[in-house]
Amino acid sequence: MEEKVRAILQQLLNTSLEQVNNENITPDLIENWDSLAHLNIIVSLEEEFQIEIDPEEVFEMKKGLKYILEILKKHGVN
Amino acid sequence: MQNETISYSDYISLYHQIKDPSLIEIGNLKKQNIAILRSFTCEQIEAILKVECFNEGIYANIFIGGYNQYVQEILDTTSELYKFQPDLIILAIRLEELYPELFSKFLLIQHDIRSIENYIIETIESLIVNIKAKTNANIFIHNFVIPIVNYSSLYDFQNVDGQVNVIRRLNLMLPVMVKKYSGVYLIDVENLCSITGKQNLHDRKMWYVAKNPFKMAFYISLAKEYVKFLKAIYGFMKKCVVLDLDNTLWGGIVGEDGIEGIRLGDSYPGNCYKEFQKELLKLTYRGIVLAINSKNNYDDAIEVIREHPDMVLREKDFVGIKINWKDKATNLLEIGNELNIGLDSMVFIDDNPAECELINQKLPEVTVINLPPNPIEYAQLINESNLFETLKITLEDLSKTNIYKAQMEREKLKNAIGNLEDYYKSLEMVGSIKPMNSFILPRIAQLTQKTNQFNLTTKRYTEKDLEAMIEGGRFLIYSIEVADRFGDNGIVGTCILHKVSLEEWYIDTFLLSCRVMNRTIENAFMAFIYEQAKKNNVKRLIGEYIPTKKNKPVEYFYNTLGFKKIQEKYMLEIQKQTLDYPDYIKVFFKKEGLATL
Repeated sequence: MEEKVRAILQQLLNTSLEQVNNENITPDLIENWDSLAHLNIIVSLEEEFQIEIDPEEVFEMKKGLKYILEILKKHGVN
Repeated sequence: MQNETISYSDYISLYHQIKDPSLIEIGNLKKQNIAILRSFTCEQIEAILKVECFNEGIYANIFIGGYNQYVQEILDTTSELYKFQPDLIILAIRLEELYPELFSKFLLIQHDIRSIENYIIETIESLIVNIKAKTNANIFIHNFVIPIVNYSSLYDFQNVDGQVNVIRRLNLMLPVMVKKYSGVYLIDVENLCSITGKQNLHDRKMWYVAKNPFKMAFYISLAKEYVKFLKAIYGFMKKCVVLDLDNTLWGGIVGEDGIEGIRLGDSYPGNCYKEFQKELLKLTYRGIVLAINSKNNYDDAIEVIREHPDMVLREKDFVGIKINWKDKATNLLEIGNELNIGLDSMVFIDDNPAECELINQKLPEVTVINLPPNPIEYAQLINESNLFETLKITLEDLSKTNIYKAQMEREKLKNAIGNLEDYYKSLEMVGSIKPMNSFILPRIAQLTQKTNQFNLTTKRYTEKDLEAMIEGGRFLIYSIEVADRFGDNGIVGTCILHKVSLEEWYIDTFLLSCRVMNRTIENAFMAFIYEQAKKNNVKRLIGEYIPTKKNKPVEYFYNTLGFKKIQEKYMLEIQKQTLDYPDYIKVFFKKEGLATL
């Protein structure tokens, strides 16, 4: 699952994340991760994993990859 | 690309891959500047539209206007919209934002509904007229979507003036109005929504989080619809007229008759050629360009163009001049390359049937007009050919009287929402300014953290930071709340003033939510700051612009207010200059519960 999410983020943020730790994949550290990109990420995650993300979770996920993975796990994604 | 459904993230990937403008040449793509003016969040369509255009050989540069700022963008001749030089302007305006009372207060306004309907159509028409006064761009207009949940449900359907039927009626009035104008097309969004299925349309979360009403699938179908229209239009609109000279722009042959011998003037047949030139000149006002392709001695021909007193077209009216002895096909190709215009957008006009035949054979994509022997027919040829009219997708025939009538109405409508001032007045804005208190503190902190565009210094503060600033006694923090005709926008802006000394205040922070940009609210807020400074015997206001990637819109904010640039900051001398409140905003200062003007 983590691989897929990383791939999505790389695609949408148009930036390489190969060398970057999970902790450092956050909007603060990645320039292209603005609010529009974040909404694109939400849409793509929903499409990819066939889940519905609620507004609270949208905001939580904006904290970074770590949070995204946690929330996806909560949704039962492996 | 095949017909399989692509996911949105695929669109984003593809979008990044096709960004390079050098693709225009490599792929022989047609460049289109597409501006989307909108009343709701729809940024996601950009990537989709660019990819769909690319599929059809169109390289789209896309400009998305400010949130709900379409009126300002259309009326302001210096706006980013016009600087962008759009080939196409899309008006994506929902009824929910255009006339919110239809959804929030329908029963209260129902008695007046017919005049409201007329007002809505006139508003859209006025936007069209104003756009057409400033640019030759094509225009796409969204029609209106009937909501699933209407105002009074089963009863509503029974009533010819129920909400459902009002919207249906508006959607019938739109094509009647649009028909008066060339180059304006209706996008039947109501129909697209039905096809997508209204129950599959809305992403509730996206609406609450970002004011984006639609799911991605809808944007995909919308983008495809736009491209369908573009394909239909594009094939028919010509961009460049390439002209011969002898017996085309003047009677006779300059190489034989000399500049005094050619026929061009106010008596027959010279006047026919003069009229012809006038019609060609009119084309240039609509954005169509002219070029010359003539077999002549350069000096003989250019002398006529430059010196002959009856020439209507001068050197500056031509974007390309090929006066030489090369074959005309080669010249045409060169012109096309130099101007980066496709051959199928070019029209070649020549009196010589042999030259015309040559072009027909060698460059079949070019439209060729072989001028008839009698110059009397030349001028009306331009008017009557359909080459310079954008394609009318529905078959129609504007008779001469309709054209005349439309012109009169046009003049009247241009004044309906004629200028920005009237628009601002019509908003009936009321601004309430408050000093920061514990209740609004969180909102102010949030604004400093989230606001990017209209933010002069982009200093981010937490609630604790702001509390400390107030406790220290050297800062003044104010918020401004704005209500208008359509409702209350809440707190939309904040300023933080640093009392540097008794004589000088530094504007540490000045920001406004992008939702209320371009309504002179910033002027009202600055006028308030000026007033407070003056009351406190401050001599100087100092402002600063700290550039970021996102705040370019306010680069010259202080300049336009009259501040003088001193080294890296801006200064206003209170005694020498003033900042006045704009007429169209009522401003209240709510100092500790009391409202004073």
